[in-house]
Amino acid sequence: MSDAATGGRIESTLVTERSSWSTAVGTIALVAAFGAAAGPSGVGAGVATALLWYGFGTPSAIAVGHVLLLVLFSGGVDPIALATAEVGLLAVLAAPLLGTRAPLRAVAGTLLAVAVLGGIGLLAAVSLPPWQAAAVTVGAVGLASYGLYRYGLVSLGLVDDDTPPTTDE
Amino acid sequence: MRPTRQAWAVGALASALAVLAAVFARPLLLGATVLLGAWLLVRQVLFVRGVADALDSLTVRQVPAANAVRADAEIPVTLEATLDAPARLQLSVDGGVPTGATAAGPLSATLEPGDATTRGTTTVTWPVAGRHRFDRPTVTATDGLFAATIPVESRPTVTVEPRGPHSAHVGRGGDRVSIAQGEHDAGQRGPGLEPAELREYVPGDSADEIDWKATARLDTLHVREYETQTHRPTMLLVDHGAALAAGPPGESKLDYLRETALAIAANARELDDPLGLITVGDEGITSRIDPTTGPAAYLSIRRRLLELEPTGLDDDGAVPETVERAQPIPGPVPSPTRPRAALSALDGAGDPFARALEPFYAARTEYDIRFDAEPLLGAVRTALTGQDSRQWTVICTDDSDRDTLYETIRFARARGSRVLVLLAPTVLFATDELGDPDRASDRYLEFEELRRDLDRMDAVTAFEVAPEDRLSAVLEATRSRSRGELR
Repeated sequence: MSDAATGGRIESTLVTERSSWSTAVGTIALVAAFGAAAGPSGVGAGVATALLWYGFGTPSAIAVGHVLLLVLFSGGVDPIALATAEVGLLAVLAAPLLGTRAPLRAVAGTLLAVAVLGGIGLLAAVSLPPWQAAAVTVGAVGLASYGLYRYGLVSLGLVDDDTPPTTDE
Repeated sequence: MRPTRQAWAVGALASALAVLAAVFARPLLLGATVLLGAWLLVRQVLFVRGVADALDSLTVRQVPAANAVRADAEIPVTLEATLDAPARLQLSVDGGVPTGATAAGPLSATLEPGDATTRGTTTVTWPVAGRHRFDRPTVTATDGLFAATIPVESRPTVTVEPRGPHSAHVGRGGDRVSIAQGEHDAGQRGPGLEPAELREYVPGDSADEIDWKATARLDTLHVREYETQTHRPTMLLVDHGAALAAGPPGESKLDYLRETALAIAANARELDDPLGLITVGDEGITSRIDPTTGPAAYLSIRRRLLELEPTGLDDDGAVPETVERAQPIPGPVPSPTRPRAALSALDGAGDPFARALEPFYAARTEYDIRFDAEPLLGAVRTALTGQDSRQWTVICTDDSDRDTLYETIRFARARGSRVLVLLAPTVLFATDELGDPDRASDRYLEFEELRRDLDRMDAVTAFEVAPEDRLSAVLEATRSRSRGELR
């Protein structure tokens, strides 16, 4: 599929119909959250992330936004400030879903996924060494993705119902 | 369901950030992994639901232009995909052309996001006879991040009939008759193998005929009699001159006459009648097999009949202008699919392959006996020379040279032979004339007059051999015209 359908951004065609108001809400929430978390430099980082979001899509914005947050909080992380900034990125994550055919369900699903994966990541980060916490987080994402893959096969009827013949022993 | 490169890229980005988080001991970056993971999982769910919805409203049809075709025919096949409501997915539909068919191009159609209907058409060739069922078409859905290929239901069938005569009609004026012969009961007693009856000895009976066992059992002289065995020698004369090439490829006059001759040969074999064959080209006899019995003789006759191809055609398989016939040869020019024509296309002189094949094809055009004129009459003369007058002579030809035909049959009758004439009406093999029903009707009536004239001759039976569908069409046109004239 050509990038024309997604405007060059990494995004599913199912959520490409981005409305101006959802983009505006996402941008304002992002800039405000970054500004509240890190002051004027946070506003700058928020604007840069928003531009990236608009041009290249959500994954790039999330990745670069976190790198910028790392720079902003190079002296130490304030949990409340970090949570505020993450809310801004969560708005970036959820805003495009307002254009889908079932926006509430999509946003609720996103929040649920973030809550579950975030909880696992947080628990792992608190209780395990960094590399193990990273492995647990990536493993959780992989496991959930595989589960959805199997669900997809079943719901699309791509699983053969025939059970192989067994031999009586 | 499989991820595309874009989905793999996002997954790799999430993993890379997790690695960075571990390497630099900065758990903050794990937040990016969590958000990117959630992003991927939500798109995955949306994709599965989107595909399921699209499939619910999608109708795919594979529509061949015809459900019954002749072998090697080309027909367009259309693939149609329709959505009740436009989807946001790209749906690529690939048709399932059967294995026994060949598509000129891919049978596929694509529904872009927002489209509701699409269609694609390609030409499919059917070289293999039989019943072919289309494979299930597949729909490949993608949203740019994930793709899934799902088979859907639409499996029409196409029946491919082999090339060659179909529904050959043998009969009189449109009425079908059987040419199969029954057993020839002589109604006489004499030497034989089948016991007929046991009777008392009467003076004059030969002592050899006395059944000594019956005599001992019954205490008086008894004689056992047997059924006399009879066989009727049959001589097939098959004309395969250039005029017999008229007709569509695989359905020429010669093809229909060949089928009928093969049926007569099979019947003769079943009855154990001696069977002979003379094939006549434009210049004389091309092969001769004297009447004989036995599986080997029948097989060689059958093989020879199957090998027959019209003589006098030029290297392109066309009828040359120099062929002299009482009437011009109508019908489409045969396609250059004949072996000799194919050989000439091999660029003869320098090609060792062509040189190796040439003797085999050259042998087919050799004449056993050449005649300056009227080869059919010459063939009958040869066939009846020194033959039993009980011989049944079967002449398979067309109506293009009527004078020679009359002369030939008169000669055969003069020699005491019973004659069966199987005539292919030229009008039914001229596709250009069938477009004009009145003209075709006139030509058929002329033919029917000829056939009746022949049929009226003593010990001569004349039948028409023709494609049943074309004969029916001409007869219908004739009847319609007659009804119109009566009103």
